[in-house]
Amino acid sequence: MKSALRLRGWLRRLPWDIIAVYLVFNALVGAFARISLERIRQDMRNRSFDDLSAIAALKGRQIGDWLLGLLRQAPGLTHEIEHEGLGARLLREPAHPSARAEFADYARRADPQHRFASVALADGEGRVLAAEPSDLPLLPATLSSEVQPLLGLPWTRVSDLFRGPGDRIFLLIVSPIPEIGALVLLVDARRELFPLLREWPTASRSAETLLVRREEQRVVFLNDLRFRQGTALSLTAPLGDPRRPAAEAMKRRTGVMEGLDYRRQRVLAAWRTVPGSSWSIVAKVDVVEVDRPVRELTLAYAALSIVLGLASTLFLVLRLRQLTSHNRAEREALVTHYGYLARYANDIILLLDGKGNVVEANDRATEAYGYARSELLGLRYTDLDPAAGRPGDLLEASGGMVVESSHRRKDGSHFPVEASIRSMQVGQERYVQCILRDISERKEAEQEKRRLEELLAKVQKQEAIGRLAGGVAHDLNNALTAIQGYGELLKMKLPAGAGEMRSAEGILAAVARAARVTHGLLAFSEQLPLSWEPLELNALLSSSRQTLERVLGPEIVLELQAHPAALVVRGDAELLSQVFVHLADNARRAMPQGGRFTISLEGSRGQDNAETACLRMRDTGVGMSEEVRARLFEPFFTTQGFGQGAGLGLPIVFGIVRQHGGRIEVDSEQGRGTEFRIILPLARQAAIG
Amino acid sequence: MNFPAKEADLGKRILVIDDEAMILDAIKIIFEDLGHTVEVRANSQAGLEEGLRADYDLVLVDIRMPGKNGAEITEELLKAKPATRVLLITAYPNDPLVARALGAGAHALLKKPFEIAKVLDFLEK
Repeated sequence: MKSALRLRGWLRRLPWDIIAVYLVFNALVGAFARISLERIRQDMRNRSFDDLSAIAALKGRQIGDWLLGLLRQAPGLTHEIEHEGLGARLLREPAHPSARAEFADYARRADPQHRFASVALADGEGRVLAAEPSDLPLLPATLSSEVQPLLGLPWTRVSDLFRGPGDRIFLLIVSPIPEIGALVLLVDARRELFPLLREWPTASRSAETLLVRREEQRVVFLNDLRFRQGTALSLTAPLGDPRRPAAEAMKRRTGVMEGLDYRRQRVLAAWRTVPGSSWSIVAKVDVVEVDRPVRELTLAYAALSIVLGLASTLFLVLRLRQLTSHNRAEREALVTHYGYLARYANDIILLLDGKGNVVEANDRATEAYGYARSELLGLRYTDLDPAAGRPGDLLEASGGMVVESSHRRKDGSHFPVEASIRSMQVGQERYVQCILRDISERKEAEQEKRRLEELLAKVQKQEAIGRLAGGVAHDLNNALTAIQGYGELLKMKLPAGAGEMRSAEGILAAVARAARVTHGLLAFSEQLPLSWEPLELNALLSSSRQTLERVLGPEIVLELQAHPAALVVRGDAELLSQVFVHLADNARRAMPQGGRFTISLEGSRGQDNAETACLRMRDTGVGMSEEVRARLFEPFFTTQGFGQGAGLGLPIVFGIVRQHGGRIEVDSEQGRGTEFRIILPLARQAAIG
Repeated sequence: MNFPAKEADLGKRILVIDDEAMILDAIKIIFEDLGHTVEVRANSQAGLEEGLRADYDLVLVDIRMPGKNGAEITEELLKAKPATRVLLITAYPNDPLVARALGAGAHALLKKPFEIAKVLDFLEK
């Protein structure tokens, strides 16, 4: 499966465009060579056929002319014998010496060029009366059988070729001499005829001319063959073989064909009949010879194709290698690039061997753990992550796993990490790759986020409570107005001393108490309309002294620490006075055995450069628990039990301070006391001394 | 406090302008029971128009209302009829609008829930 994928990937990377051009180019070269060679071959064939036909025609005409010449020459020669009486004398006395000498003389004159093997005189029966030269062995024995069929006709005849003594091939010319017999001229075909056949107008290695005739169901080769000597009249071939041009020549007067010759060689042949004879002339040449130029051309073309093929293959191979080396260079660049990535990555990257030993670590790792690289490479993973399992467990993380853990630095401190662990096979070895991210910041951010979310939830809760309280208080207040009115009306209508008077007064007392609650709730819900006036806090505080002392009672010492400079805020004097009163009341409850209540005024500059005033109110009371502190400003939350207090004092303080754009901070320690700090923004024109 | 009221008290005309129906009902019932004529308006604009249209011995005005607030009503009413006695009724005595209305000539402020007796005191004056 993997190898198939790899093969597919390899195939996809091949430069198919170049390969396609390569294949098409070579196919075109091959096709062009093949087509043009075939055309040239066909052309050569046709030209050969034309040449062979012309040669066959030429030879046929030459032989015909030669025969005709013989036939025309003979009658002229008979004249002397006929009219000088030599023939009659020889007929009477064939052995007469003077007559024989005279014939010999005649014969020498008649054939000055020695064209005839012998010149003879035959009687009407075919017997030889005289012959010159006389020693020719065939005479007189065989002559009669050849001559006889030609006797008795009034014109000159030519015999067919025949084999005479000494394997010589002859033909006879028989010219009739009235009342005597015939003049017989013996022609040696090897001397007079065959050379005609052997002549070829051009130099050729295989071309030859055959003279053939039919004898019953076979074709006889009349002349001596170029490649097989001494075969004249003895070599035959069956007529029925259509592949043999000699046999085909017996069937049609002229023609051309490709076939097999007597050597079973492939030949091109053309034939035609020889005029004035029963012979046919066949001109032939070996296909091998005809095709030689084509073969040479084929070789040239093949060489050219091979050169072109090699050149294009070379080009292809070079191109492929160029691409491959390009790919390799790219891959090496990638490897280097990844090396850099790993080395300078912002995450810790560790490579462990199968036993859990650190074998590779990047720069970030040395930086994060505080170890030198050489030290780090000697460690086990469990030295860094004491909680990590055995190396085997890591190796099983073939699919990769992500865990959060705590890692130990060289100095023993820990930092939280998110570890992405994956085991992998490199060659024969199993390795574990650990990518570790220091998530300290993330953890801190998460904590901060959680804190802010809690704060937000608290604020939202406070707001919801505020809205609820405000809504309830508003409606309740209106209802109380009505009740108060009806109660008063009742009271007015009752006669003095009536028993119901107490009930009416009870109603009014309850309304008065409920009205205090609704006012507290309205203050807490920040819905009290404020009169915004500049207020000097030192003055406000000292003017509240009497009220505060009354609230605190004689057991508690009130200490006021003014600020040396004026601290002017904008706000509602009455509401701010209420803040002091409620906090004093709170302090009184925290100090049932008495104590000290200190209010000090400070000015300070906040982080955002805004100037603020701080009212610090400290008691020496029982303090409060964290749980109480967290719910301090919830309406009706009280530690005093029902009936002791309305549980609205601090919520009212909270609402008023918030409405003045300020905030409250609380420090408390059980048994040591509580400090409230009310921080209010100073009016802009005021300055801190 | 001693009742019944004198004959002269009877027949006083009171206008109440407040968006709270419960308040209007209570004041109307109580003061009519005490022999006064009471006109109530839940809509501040309608209340102002009524105050301008007819003469009242006492006009009770809520400070916080949708539409015209109590300070505006006081200002417009006293501008047209400076002799009118206006009593402000509110749950928020520190409201700056109260100061504004008082500055415009409102007679006094009553904090909700207010005492009927105080209103009667003003009626008697």
